[in-house]
Amino acid sequence: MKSLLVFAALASAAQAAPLITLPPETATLKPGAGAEVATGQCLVCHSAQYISTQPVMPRAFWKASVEKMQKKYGAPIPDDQVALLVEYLVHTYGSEKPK
Amino acid sequence: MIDRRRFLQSATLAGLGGLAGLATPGRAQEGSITLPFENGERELVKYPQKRPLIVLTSRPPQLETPFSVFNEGVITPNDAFFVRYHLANLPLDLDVAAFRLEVKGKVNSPLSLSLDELKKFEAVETIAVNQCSGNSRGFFQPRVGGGQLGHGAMGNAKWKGARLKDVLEKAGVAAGAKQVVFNGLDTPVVPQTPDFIKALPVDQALDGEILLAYEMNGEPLPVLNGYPLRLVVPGYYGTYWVKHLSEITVVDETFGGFWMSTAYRIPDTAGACIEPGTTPKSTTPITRFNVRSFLTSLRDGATVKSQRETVLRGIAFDGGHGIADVLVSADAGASWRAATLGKDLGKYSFREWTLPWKPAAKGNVEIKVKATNRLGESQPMEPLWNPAGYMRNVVETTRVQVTA
Repeated sequence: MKSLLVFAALASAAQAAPLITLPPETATLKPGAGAEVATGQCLVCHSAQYISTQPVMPRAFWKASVEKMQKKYGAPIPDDQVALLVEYLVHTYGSEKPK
Repeated sequence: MIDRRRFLQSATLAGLGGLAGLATPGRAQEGSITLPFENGERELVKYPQKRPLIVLTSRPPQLETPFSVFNEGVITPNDAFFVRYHLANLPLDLDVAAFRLEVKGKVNSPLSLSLDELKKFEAVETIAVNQCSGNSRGFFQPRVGGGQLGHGAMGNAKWKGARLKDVLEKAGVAAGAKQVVFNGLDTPVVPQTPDFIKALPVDQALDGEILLAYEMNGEPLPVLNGYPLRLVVPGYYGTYWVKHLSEITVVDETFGGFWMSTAYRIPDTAGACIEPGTTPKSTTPITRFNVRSFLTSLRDGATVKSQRETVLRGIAFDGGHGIADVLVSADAGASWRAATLGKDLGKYSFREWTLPWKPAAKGNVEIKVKATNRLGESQPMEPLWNPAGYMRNVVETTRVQVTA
C-alpha cells in the first residue's frame, strides 16, 4: 500500500497540475439491506444522487434501471446480485416500505 | 486500475461516514435549495470557475443554474452556466498545447488541428441558448426517471469559434458522405459503457451555423463547459454540443452509436408527446428546441403590493426562428396582454420581454407567459408528456400573492 502511494505521488509530480480539482464527493447511499452491494456496484460509475434524487418510483422502474445499467451501460453487475439491488432500491428509495 | 481502486476506497470511507452520521470534512457546500417538486432538495456547491450551483449529481458533475440568475440579464455568466456530463472520466489532466482536433473519415485530406491552428479559421460569434433535453424534467406528471432538473439546465452565451463548415471544407467532404460524428475527451469509467458520441446530418454540418467554439462570453470555455473546444449547435438541444471535442469523423452511413440509436430519442409524433404513462410506438432522435418562455422577475410564491406598478420581466426563446411575440396573463389565462420585446440579439438567443403591471386588488394571482415564434409555433396550455421527460414547453405559471 505504501509503495502504491509513493508511486502515485511520483506519477502526479511528473505530470502538469490538473486544470481544476473537483470538490470532494460527499453523497452516500442510505443504509439498508443491500446497501454495501449497491455502494460497490452502482457507485463505480456514478455518485449516489443518481439514485437519491429520483422520484418515488415502483418496483418495475428500479428493476428496469438495474437491468439498463447492466445491459446498456455495461455495468459489471453479476446476475445473482440484480434481485438484491432491486430490493434495496425499491425499499430504500422507491414506493415499497423500508425493510 | 489505480483510479478504480482509489475510488472504491474513498467510496467506502464516505459510506462509513454516512452510515455513522458523521460530518464529512472538506465540504464545499454553500447552502441548499428545494426545487418545487417532490424530492427536490438539493445542495448548492461551488465548483472551480463556478459560483455555487445546484448539484444534481456530483460524479459526473451535473450542476443546475439557480433560476434567479436568469433575471440578472439575457446572457448567462460563465460561472453560472449549467454543467451536464454523462461519463465520469473527465479530461482534467488535459495539456492544451498537445490538444489536437482530428478531422477524418470520408474526407479528402484528414486534418489534425491545434487550438492555434483552429483560431486561424475565420472567427464567428453567435449568441445562442444551450438547453438540456431534460430541462424541467422534475415537473413531469406523472413523474419520469432521469435527471430531476428544475428550469436551470439552460443558458444563453456568446460563443466564438470557427465554423464547422469551414473546417470540413478544408478537409474536403468526400462524395457519398451522410453524417458527421462528434466525440470528445470525456470517457466512461468502465470500458463497456458506450462512449458519448453524437452525429448530425452532413447537410446540417455544412450549413454554416454550427461552431467549433473556444470562447464563451469573451473567455476561454470553463473547463466544465468543454474546455478547450466544444461543438455549438444553435437551436439544437445540448446533447449535440459535444464538450472537449477532439474527433470529427465523416461517415457514409447513419451512425448507430448508443447515444443516437437508443438514448436521446423522442416519440415520433407531433409535439413529441404520447398519452401519459404509455410507451411510444416509434421514436426518432431529439433535434431542435420548441418554444419556451419564463417570468424571471417574480419567483413562485412572491408577494407584491396592490395598486403599485411593477415591471414584469422574463425571457423567451425557440429553436432558431426567433420570437415574434410574448403574451402575459395576470389572471390565470383569462385575458392576455402583449409584452414589449427587448433587444434582438439574434434568432438563437434568449429574448427579453417586459410588461408593466399594476395589480388591482389583493388576493392570489396566477401569472402565465406564452411566446410565439416567427413560424407561428407557440406553447401548449397543458403539459405534453413523453417517457424520457424531454422538451417540456408548457405555458408556465407563477403564483403571486397580492397584498394590500
